[in-house]
Amino acid sequence: MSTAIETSIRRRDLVFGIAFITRLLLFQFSEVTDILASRVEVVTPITSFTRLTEGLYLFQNGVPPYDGGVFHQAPLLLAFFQPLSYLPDQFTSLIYILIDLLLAYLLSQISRIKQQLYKDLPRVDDIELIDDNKNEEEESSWVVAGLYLFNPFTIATCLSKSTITFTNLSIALGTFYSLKGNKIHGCFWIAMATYLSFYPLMLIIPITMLLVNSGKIMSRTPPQQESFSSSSSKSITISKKIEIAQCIILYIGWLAVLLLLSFILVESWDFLEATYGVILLLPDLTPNIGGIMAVFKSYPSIGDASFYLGFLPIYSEIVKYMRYNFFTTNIFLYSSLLAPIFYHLWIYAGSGNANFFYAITLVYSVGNIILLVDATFAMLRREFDVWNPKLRYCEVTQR
Amino acid sequence: MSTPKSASATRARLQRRRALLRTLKLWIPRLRFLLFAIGVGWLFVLPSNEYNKHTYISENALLPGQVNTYYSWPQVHEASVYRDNIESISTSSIERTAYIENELRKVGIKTETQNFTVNALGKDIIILITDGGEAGVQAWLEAYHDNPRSDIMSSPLFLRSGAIQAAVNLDLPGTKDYQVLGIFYEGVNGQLPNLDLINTIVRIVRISGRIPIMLHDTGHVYWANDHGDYYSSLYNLMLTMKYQALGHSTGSHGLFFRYKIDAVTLYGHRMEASHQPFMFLEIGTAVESTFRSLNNLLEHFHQSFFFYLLPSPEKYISIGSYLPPSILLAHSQSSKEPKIEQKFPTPSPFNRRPRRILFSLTVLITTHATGIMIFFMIKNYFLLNKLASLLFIQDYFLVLALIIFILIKVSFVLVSIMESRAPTKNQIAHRIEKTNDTNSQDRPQQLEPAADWIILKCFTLAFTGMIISCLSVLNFSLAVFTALIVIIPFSLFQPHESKAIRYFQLFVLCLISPPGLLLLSGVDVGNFLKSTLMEYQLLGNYIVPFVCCLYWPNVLAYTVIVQAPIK
Repeated sequence: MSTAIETSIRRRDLVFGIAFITRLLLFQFSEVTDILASRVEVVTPITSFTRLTEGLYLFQNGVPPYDGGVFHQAPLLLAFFQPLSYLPDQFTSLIYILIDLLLAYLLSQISRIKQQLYKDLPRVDDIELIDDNKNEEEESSWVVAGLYLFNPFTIATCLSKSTITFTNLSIALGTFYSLKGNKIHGCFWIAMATYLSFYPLMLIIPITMLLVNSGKIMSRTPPQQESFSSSSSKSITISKKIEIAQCIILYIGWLAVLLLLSFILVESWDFLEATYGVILLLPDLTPNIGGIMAVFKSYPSIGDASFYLGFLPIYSEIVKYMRYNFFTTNIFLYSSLLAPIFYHLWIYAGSGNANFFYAITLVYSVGNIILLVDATFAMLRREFDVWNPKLRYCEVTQR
Repeated sequence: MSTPKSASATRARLQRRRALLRTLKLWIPRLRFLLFAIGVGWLFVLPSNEYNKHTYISENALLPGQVNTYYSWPQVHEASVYRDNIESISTSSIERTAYIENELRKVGIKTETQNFTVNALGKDIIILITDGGEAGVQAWLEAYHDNPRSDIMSSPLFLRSGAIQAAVNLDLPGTKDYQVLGIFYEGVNGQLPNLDLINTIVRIVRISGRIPIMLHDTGHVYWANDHGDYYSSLYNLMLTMKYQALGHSTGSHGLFFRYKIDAVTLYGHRMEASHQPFMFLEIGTAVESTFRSLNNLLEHFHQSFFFYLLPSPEKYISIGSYLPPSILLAHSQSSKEPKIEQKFPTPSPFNRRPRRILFSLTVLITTHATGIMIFFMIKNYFLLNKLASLLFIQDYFLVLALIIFILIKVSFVLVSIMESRAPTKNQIAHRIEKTNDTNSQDRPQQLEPAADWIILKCFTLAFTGMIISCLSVLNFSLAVFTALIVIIPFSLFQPHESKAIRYFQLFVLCLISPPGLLLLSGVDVGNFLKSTLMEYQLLGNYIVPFVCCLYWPNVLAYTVIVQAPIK
């Protein structure tokens, strides 16, 4: 038994080691990193490292960094990268690699906590073998880390030094601490993610729910067991309300602190318009891979996809129920191959036009949507199966 | 809502749906070959006259042939004098250059000599006279755009006149009369000029010169409103597709595409005296009229097609008409998911058989890494040749030996790993026992994982389909030829009990691997490699990297598949 755990730990080390070495090696090929750093699919105006360098240069020379209209990133990133600019470039690369590894580690930890939480929940006993075996747990957690680390999207985002990595790290940290029930850290990291790229604003709702329910996720038990909990429901709601208020106050407080720190750093409120204003009003017309409405996000990049795809294997029981895995994988592959080709035809060869690239961004968005719909369907169908074991092999029709 | 009638209707609907699904499941494997056949048949419909459309000038600003030309007999006389003078000078290129430069200066055109190119800038017309063929044009283009790409060393240029709109490359060999004007339009990597440029030239030649036109040097001559028969159209298409697939530029014009300049080559053919000969007058008027038309352009060519095929000079097939067969070919097989579900009365809501994809992915990554390795070896072909000559071995023998060694080694290692992963006989017997037990419970259980080769085959097919369909927007002809070669073997081949069939499959795979194809086509391997490598290094022809890094690895993956254990 213990040897099995040891092998799986060794495998985990192997996964992290190979991921580290691959990235370090790829960072040595400046052709690769330069191409990736300028691809519109990988970096956007609000995550580009080139633009960050520009902002940093202005900042170091006493010019307000947001004056040029090029730099659209959070001021605290300047403070973070300023000391790095005195060190060799390798250090910056190293930091990006380490952040990626840390992210993968966090994902595997989140996966383990989730397994602990779900251990006592009912499951589909045919396919989800009840296995309290520690080994299984270890193994699936390093698989989660490996799937994140060797996702080509992740590697490309890391090599391009896109600053979306920091947002992703903040969200992962926020989720991790919320699952641990740590309100202060959980809210801080979600506030940080919001501060860095605004959209994680909406994550405060699920994070609050996690924090309030942490340790007692029993609300999803089958209907027959629910009846006894109604007696003490009133006291629960009051204490819950207090907890929710705590979370929101913490979140707003942290956000205010971050914004104030930024104000002190750049000595003006210009950054609000240059960062959040740009995210909301889209004045920068650099091509990007999102029809705005299609993915509900301005300036999306493959860095967003790589992060949420990293969360998918945590729910391996849902993936088993998904019906279009082959199809979605193909869509992702096709769009990531065709996007650069069509961009080339449009910009360099001159034989295509903007519609070519636009069409492929639509395909990419459709792929994302199909994945989302499929995952939702899988989750619902699994829950149905959990509650109705007798109907498990019946066909479901819609009326 | 819950009346018995609606319930029975629902049941009927369900039964119909199930019956439909069952029929589809039964027919889709057979449908795949039908799709392939339709794709191939469609390709042969392309040249037929009924399928094609008449060409038309899309950009109204061009107004071809509607402008006055001033080129006439006096100019023809001057031209003949120049020609005679150049002929009388010695064959040395320096003396000729000096003469041409001197004469152009006399006319009042600014001239400049590049190391081996003379170049004159007029108001908006650049006259480029080169020596050394395509290398000369490439050197000039690189210098003009200040964008050194290849290994050509050239002196810098000082005269420039902004972005170039279009280029007409006049290739008129010799000094005698010509009978037919040939149009060459394929560029490096199958890129084509805007169809408007070709249309303009064709129309002008028809109106001003009454010269017969030929596509390439096929020998099929077209007069005005003549579209030829099916076979000549087919021949024209085949030739275009051959040039495109090899990424081979059919003239110096092909080099301009990289710089977003549309270009064609006009070639003076000398044929049997059956046609009215033409000379300076006709050519001069046509060129002048073309330039006057192009001069009307306000922006870069954008109106007409960039993706087309020409069965005859005045007929075209647009991308919407020729792309479907290629997509059909690519996808007739790639949509094949592994058939690993067992038969149960109702479809299961979840996937019961685990699919171990990691190993198959590793195999594909390994074969592609091998391909990249082979590419770097071929890229350093000349270097390795030198090494070979030091070791007193035949030319290109070292490269070949190294490549074959790598291929055999990689496939053997992969096959042996697959064998070690396959279940032993005992395990299989145990499994059969187990399934017999569980069948009595009448409940589907988690099944044993699918065999590695099924997953690998599925991935390779999907990947091949993806490569072909992505390629068909870049280089349609290469995509079609690739599909025609690989799709049938790839979809049929799988590990087989019989040794003979396994060896036969291996033999076919060797034939469709790049060396096998070279041997089959009967070209001189050494020369072919040398010329394609030159094109890769000078002009950026991507056929070598494509074959090494994308085509070969998939064939290699298939050699692993056919040798894999069945279970």
